[in-house]
Amino acid sequence: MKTLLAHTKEINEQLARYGVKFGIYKDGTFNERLFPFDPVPRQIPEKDYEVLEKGLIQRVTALNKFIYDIYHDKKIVRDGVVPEEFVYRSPGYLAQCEGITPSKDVYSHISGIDLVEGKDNEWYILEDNLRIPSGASYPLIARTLCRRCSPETFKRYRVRDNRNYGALLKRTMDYVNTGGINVIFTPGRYNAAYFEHSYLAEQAGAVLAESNDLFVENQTLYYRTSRDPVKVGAVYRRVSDEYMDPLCFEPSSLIGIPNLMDAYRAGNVAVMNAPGNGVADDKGIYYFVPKMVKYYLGEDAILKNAPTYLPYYEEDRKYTLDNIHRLVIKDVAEAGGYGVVFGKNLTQEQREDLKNTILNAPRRFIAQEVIDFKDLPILDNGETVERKADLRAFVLSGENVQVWPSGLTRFSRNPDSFVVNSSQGGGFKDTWIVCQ
Amino acid sequence: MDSLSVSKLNRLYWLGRYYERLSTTLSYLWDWYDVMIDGEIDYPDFCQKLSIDCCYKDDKDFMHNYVFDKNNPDSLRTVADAMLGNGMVLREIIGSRTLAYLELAVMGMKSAEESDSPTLPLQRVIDFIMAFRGSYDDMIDDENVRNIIKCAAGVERLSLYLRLGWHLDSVKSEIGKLMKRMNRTSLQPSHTSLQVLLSAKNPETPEERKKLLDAAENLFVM
Repeated sequence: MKTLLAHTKEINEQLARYGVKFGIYKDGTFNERLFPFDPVPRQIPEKDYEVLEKGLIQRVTALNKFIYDIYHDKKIVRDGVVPEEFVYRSPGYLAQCEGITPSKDVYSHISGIDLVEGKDNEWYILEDNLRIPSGASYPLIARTLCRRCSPETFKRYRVRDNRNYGALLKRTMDYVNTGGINVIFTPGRYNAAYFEHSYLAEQAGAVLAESNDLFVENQTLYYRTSRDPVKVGAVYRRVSDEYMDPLCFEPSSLIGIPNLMDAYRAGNVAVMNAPGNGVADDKGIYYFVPKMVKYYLGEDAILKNAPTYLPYYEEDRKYTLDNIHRLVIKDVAEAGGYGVVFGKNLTQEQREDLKNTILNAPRRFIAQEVIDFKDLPILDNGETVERKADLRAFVLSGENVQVWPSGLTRFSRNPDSFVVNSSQGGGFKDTWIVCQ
Repeated sequence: MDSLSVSKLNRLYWLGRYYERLSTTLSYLWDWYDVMIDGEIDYPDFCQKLSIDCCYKDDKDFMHNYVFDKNNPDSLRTVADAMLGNGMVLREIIGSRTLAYLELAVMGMKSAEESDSPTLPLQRVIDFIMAFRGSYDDMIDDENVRNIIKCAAGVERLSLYLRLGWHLDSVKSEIGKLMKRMNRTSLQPSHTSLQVLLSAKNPETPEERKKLLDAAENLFVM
């Protein structure tokens, strides 16, 4: 491990060589930044991982069933398990998806589930990302470079190989493919995660395409080539729902494919992840996921949610307002670490303002206990310091539901911050599943 | 899949042109700069040959800003960024290993800018482009892809030789190479330009150079 740690700079230089960057828009200007890599891995013993794996498979299975139910029978709403306000007022619910059954009934093909490990050694789910979760490419390429840098480390530690992500992705695409080529559909090189789009296309042997490369004719999606058009059977889209098809969603979208939803609705192409999944990864719906597990699978959820309160319910509202000084308040419409407020950081006046906002729009917020999650060691100018870190686990749903034996560990570089998002200056680590 | 999208074909073509523009211009610049030291020629002459805006204060300003200024649309840094920009969107076609040489070339430009003798570290930029050239030739299986890049590089080299009046004795041979490669691609040439190039000899007059330059630039409409 010493060799690995001693070469932090060189590994980061190698990452730069391969263009491992992410983009940020600030004041209307696009800038690309290197994603700082810390070589001290997060290590998860295989025994603990087995529990995580079971819990993640259980959760994603229930979430897939929930999305199917919402766009078909709505039994969970009729049975009063999830209030209808949380479904139909969610910005992620898309009426245009009503009645559509995707290829092989899979909605969330690639799920990014964010977790933290508490100081009580318990894993807590922070949020589910079922639309376009990004991040798998970073530990994927970092592992290759780390093995190259320090083979002794990987001889000594028995670490589950994570370099099969491209193959897993391909298998998932092939399973739902309706006949034709596999395509990764990117908004273009000025997207924050463009490196990932292009790298995953290479790793999965898929074609990377932008909107002007694709068109729909006779309810079929085609890839436009210099010769004859080629039919697309599965499209792993990295474009948000609202911009995906200007004839169905946001009409001003220039990055979408007109009539893509027609081809999808006709069953002529698999869209990964399915449009409309946002109904299930809404921060408000998060509260109900353990109930979904019970409802659809008849099991208790293996993985816990962070203790969460819904101001929508009177009892929870009262608790939230009384304890706002020690809770974290999240705006359900925001993502990427934005819209997250720690009550302890607010002045009295700001707390009162927030209370009023919550009273006026209780459905807009959730409140959570601040989990005292474990700090992880990182190297900071040659010294080891402790920083907050989370884990994004990737679950792929194809013929079966499978957890990628790795994940993206993101950490805060600021000693006082719980916010680990790359867009807010965080770095990343590889995640090792260590065999005994 | 053996067919390229129209936009990928376009990107491959411009990738070829930009990498060749960067490496050939840098090589030429060294020879030319050496002559400029003795005062026999001046930078406005260079700008005129390349039909670029002569917006520099003096020789020193020219050598720095023409090479390194990323906000100058004529600069070699802009060419390098365009080269990488085209390469980035072709990762799944040319491969991460090959693309890495373009990243390194741009990083080389940035670090050369910080040197107090910037023309020396620029050698590394040319080295990386040569490595890119070897890498794509060796690593890309698709003959069409390889030859589109080579064809575009051939057009650019021809264009620069004719503009700069450099290596004019090898123009006919460069045209020959270009024609052979073109036949192994899915590129559709302009019939008129093709006729001019097929009947070309090494140019002796400015008019002959201009005619060949127009034919080379209009050979493919991208």
